Amino acid sequence: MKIAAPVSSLEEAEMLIHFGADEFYCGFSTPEWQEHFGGQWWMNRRDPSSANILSWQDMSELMALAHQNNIPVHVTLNAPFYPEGALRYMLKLSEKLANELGADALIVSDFNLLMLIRREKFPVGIHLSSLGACFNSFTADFYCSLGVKRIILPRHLTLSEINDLITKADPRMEFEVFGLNDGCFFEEGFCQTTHTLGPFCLTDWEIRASRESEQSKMSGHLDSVREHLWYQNNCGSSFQAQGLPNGPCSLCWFGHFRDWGVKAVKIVGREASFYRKMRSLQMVKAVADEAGKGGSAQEIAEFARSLRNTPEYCQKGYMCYFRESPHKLWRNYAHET
Amino acid sequence: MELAFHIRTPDSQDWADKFQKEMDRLYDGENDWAEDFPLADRIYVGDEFCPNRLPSLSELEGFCALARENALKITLLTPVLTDKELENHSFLFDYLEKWEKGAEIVVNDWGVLLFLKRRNSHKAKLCTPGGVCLSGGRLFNKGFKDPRLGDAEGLALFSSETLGLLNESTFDHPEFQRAMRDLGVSRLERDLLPYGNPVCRSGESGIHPSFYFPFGYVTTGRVCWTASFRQAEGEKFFPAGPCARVCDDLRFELENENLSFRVFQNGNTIFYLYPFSLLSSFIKAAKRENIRLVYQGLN
Repeated sequence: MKIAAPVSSLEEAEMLIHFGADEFYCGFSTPEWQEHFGGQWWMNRRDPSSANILSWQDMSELMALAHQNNIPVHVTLNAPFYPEGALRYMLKLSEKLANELGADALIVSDFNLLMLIRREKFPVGIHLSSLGACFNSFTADFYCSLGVKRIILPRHLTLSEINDLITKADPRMEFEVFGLNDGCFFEEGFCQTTHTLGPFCLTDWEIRASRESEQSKMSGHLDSVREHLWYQNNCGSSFQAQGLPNGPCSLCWFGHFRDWGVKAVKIVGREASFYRKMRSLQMVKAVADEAGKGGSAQEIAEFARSLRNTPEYCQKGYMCYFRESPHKLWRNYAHET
Repeated sequence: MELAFHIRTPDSQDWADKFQKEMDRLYDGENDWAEDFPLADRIYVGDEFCPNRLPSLSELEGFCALARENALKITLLTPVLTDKELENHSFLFDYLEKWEKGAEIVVNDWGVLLFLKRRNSHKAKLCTPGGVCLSGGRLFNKGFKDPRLGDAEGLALFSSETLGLLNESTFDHPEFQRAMRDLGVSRLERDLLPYGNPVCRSGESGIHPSFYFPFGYVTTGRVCWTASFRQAEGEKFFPAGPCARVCDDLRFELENENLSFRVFQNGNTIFYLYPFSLLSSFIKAAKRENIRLVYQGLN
């Protein structure tokens, strides 16, 4: 299983190579984009200043460094949609990334952009972003027929649904799953809000129930929602005692992912600090290496939980990607251990 | 203009009354669009956001009986489905394909679309007299709908590209329309973009439009805020988790000082209410065009 690590500068790239990243993915926010679209609309859903490569020169150097170390670079072009004017620009940008810089894959979610890139037959792989919302094997087959090489599965599948999907899909399709960091309350493939205005799910709502009798329960429910969101938001962007990052993960399931043929696990957080990226990679690498040794899925899960060393957070369940319903897998596992 | 009502239960007989009352409540009695408003000739059933709101077989039979009694056509809304969910709900497609009148299925998932195309591969076109028509749902249509944008006018004036951001969506692109036609889709379902100037045109590229009112959707997901409302600690916030259909009788209005629109939560989905001026001008224009309006209220 490969580890796909986020990178937003050359310094980070050197560090990530040193600590064993297998693949890079990065955002790109060009000066031309800023000129035409301004700062209120981001090219790939993340803040240009903290989460993106900002110049062609830097992108070129990043590609060269990565390729010298046999690391493929996947460039994220994953706004949910691009209007006509932006599509024209994104197509030119894709051509340059593929033909001149040698990008290995473009991570795309906009269907129209995907179709345009496909038609041009650029020498570059097409990966479907998690925003492409692949929830079943038929969708995987559909995208396979369009030439998509890899699908990044959405956060809000359960473990058994992932197994089902991968087992039934065309075996030519590669799958990547979220491994660590940054949850999302809504399904980002269907969320039509913008991070430019701050995460919509973290809005501090005043809520009125349609039934007066339910209003008294609102405060308690909102407390639960806030707690859940705190876990989803990397436990308030905190670290545990040994300096490893807290936050959503699927580390316990790496043994299953290995057995099911998942191609890559993704460390989320293009905008994360140098330190968080480093510690995230160290943790994911340790668990992926353990899975590579061939232990049972349960042994991998035990290793992951001992490494995290936050049993109270793990026990809560809000930090888990791909949670099964209470009567299924997670509870059974917690009970057994 | 064609009018459809989205209804939730097959025993609904008073949808016209409910529609009037809810519109009066939402718009404080303003209703200058109501003159010469047509009668409904179609019902929408099911749900495009949540599989737990899809009908059982007996409910679907009830909806079809209701449609037959009232000489209405029927459209089934379907959401994104996992492999298991698709398997568990394929009876809905079986039933509609055998139903006597040309039913319609709104699909929001490429996989569901491929599934339907494969099982009907023997037919040259899905939408044939007596056959099932397919429509592309709103989840396919991405556009700018964040209800928190304060200065839409400023953004629109920044450049032609940002103007496009507020006025265009996935469905507008010929590439998408071509793909849909190739998959046998003959209709596309839309919201009014909150900051755009809606264009009311019918049947471009051979694909007919449906427009929903008075709400557009903002965001949705498989982790359901509403389902979690009455659940015990430890049972909340699971993707596609257990559900007691709290949404059948409970909705929420969400308030925040940064909102440009009224915002509501219905089930697992958040909606914005169209401003009266947008709705009114659109309906007046729609009356002159061969388009379908779909009333989808909170109830």
